[in-house]
Amino acid sequence: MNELLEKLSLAVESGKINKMSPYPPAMKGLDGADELCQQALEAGIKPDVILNDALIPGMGRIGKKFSDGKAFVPEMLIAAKAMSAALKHIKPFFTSGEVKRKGVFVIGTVMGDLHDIGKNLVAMMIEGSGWEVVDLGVDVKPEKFLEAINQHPDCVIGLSALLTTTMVNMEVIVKQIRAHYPDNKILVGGAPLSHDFCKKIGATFYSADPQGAVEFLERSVA
Amino acid sequence: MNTTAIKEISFEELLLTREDVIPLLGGKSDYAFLMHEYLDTLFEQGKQIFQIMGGYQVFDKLTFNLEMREIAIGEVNFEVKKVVFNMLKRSSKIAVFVCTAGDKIHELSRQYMAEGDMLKGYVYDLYGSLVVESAMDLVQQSLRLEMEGEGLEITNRYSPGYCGWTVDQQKKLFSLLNQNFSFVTLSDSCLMKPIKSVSGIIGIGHNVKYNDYTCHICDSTNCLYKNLKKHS
Repeated sequence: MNELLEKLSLAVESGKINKMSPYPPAMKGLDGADELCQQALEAGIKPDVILNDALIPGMGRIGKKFSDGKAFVPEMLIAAKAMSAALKHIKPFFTSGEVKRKGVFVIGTVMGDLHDIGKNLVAMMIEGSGWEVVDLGVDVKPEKFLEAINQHPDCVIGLSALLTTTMVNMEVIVKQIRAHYPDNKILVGGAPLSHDFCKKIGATFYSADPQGAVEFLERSVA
Repeated sequence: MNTTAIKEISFEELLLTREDVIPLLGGKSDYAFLMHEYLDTLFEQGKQIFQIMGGYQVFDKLTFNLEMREIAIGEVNFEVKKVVFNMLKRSSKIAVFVCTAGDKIHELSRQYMAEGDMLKGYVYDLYGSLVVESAMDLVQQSLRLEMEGEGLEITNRYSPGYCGWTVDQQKKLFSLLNQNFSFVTLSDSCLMKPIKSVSGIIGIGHNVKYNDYTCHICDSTNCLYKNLKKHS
């Protein structure tokens, strides 16, 4: 792989946002994701190559470490920020159409639940993997999901809940979505969930962590 | 008679230090220095950021339906799971409590997240949770001291949303409280405002007990202390 892309990928994985950022200490004074992405574009590397060969693998590695219990939420958040710093250079190419979005991902924390940090992290990672993300926020009622699907008919829907007492609201939302849009894929996530619960409520896929959500979406467009 | 106690709690009273927070954030030394910066700001500005208020109202007209596992406080009936029912069924009184850290910490947290600083937003969010739980510890301690004066013990605290006690029961809980508790309100979805608030019930009586370790009976997936246990 191109040396610049390797460095960029490592900067994302390590959470090295830009040259000024003090984290991680071992990379102090080095260029971060912000500068390296700009340099890669200036070197003539296509934005979709930067996305697919540097940003997605970098975020994928830290996501895997998180899944394996070898990284914590703060490290994921720092890496997500580094990825965002790089992504801001790529975004104009999405707008111009030079880089195609992989699809639209509509995400929200279900009604009755206000927890959004996991949801935000998933949204950031999915956006970083080339999707347009429509974030409906927290305490989202079924009608709001239906309205978003109406606007983005081919979207994948993501439902998040953190409480055992609010995850039951997922079933209500999934039922309403299925009644109107039986073919849309529905991804569910949140600490108290399980594959069995996902199956029981009729959702398409359950992911225990953000990386699993990214991989599911990658498979869904493959 | 239903007694009420409400107090403002100063940020300084909580006596929180970096050491209380860092382990909850994962605590790895590589990034701890980033958190120190955020936490130092929070410690410096805590007095301006937090508007901490908490209290309880004690009710003595109780009915326990063993068969249905229902607890009636006055005329208001609560359906709870076995685990909560068993801890409270010997209570002669029940305190309904509310405590809040105020609006500002959540607003700041979401402002930083919206600006792209997810880590700072996360640290502020977690710190807000720690503040409200610590403040509630003080409120609970006040209740304990008051009840000790009457020769009574208190139980642990239990909240809608946990231990299978559904969030929609929150409306019933708030219907019991007098207007002095209006510093916390409920949304249509039964969510509290300010968001960094806690509410619930505590059993009181001669034959109730407080358990130091209750993680095994709790199904919380986002508890500060459960995370600490998991990652320590």
